[in-house]
Amino acid sequence: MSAGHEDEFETYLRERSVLPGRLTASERFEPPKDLDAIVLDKARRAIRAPTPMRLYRAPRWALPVALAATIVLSFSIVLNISLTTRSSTPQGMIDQAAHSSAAASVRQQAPLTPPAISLEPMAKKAPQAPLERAQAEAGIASKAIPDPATWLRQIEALRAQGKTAEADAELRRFHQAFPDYPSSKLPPALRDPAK
Amino acid sequence: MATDEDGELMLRYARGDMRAFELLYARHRNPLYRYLVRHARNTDTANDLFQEVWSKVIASRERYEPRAKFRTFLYRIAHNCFIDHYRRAALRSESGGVEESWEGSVPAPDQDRPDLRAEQAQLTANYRAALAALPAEQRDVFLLYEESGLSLEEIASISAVGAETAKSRLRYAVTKLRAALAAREELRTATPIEEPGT
Repeated sequence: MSAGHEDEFETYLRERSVLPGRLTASERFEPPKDLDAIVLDKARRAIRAPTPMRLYRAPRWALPVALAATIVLSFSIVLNISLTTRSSTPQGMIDQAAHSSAAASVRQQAPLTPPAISLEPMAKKAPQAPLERAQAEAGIASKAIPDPATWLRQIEALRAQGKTAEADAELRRFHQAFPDYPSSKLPPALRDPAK
Repeated sequence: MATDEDGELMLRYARGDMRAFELLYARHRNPLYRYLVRHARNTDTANDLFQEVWSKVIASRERYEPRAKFRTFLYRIAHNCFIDHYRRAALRSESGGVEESWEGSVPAPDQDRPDLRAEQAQLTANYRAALAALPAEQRDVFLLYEESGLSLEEIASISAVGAETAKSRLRYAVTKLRAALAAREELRTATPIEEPGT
């Protein structure tokens, strides 16, 4: 295209009219008045009419965002629960748990039930030993292992009744359950003469 | 894009302000009507399309979001209405380019100057014939540029073509129309119209 045409076109782009001035007026169409009235009346009636209930339309991105939010929320809840559980388990509880597992292994060796002899009311109990507390906290029945003093008295009673074999068996179990029990605290009748 | 003043009027109308619609309508009624009449070459068709366009504007008031200029929004609707009309007419085999009742919309010529009237009538007829002879795409871009006041980029967006394509179509249309008007002008100067009373 020539430079002259290009200049003419640039002029047209500025003026936005290809028509000579005298012809422009003849091309100035206007909508008829009755058409104006129809359009304006339609517009007026549209805003007077009750607005139809607008259904909620979620935007296109709503579904993936909702899914991502659900995943993030679930993950954070799980993480939160896990951290809370870990922080509420101090070293003491961990030690107790270890102790209770030790107690469980002892219980396997100790008699499951206390001796069937009842010489004194069992209600009169000594203060709870650490082992028993651990058992109690771990939900292990404390009946399985009586406190040492009671147990020793029961063994003494067996001896006194002449049930020596049973008394010896119980004493062996006692030593297995309480291997560190000082022999000086044992009743004289139950001390091993060899020691 | 920032909300233009027309967009604000449309939002006000959506909230029930009829005065806002009246202002909006007053601003756009003439250019839109000219775009439709010159495109359709038929005032009855233009009247129908004009109503259809405004009906769609009214119906879309609740959903209207001023993402672009209101003018772009309006002429996009008009462009689509015209394309739909063109397709319907093609289906009815009525797309024969019928020259119709333009006269009803043309302002009355100056009765005191029959020479000017004759010249104007000739030029008008020639111009309209040249406009009608343009390919539809070129005519559409040309009329949008002349009547809507939109930029070439906005027209390209409405026509779903690139800006360079829109500019090229406009250039071809302007060249052809100028050539048609120049030919008539040469003819007029070669055979001058006699002055009355000479």
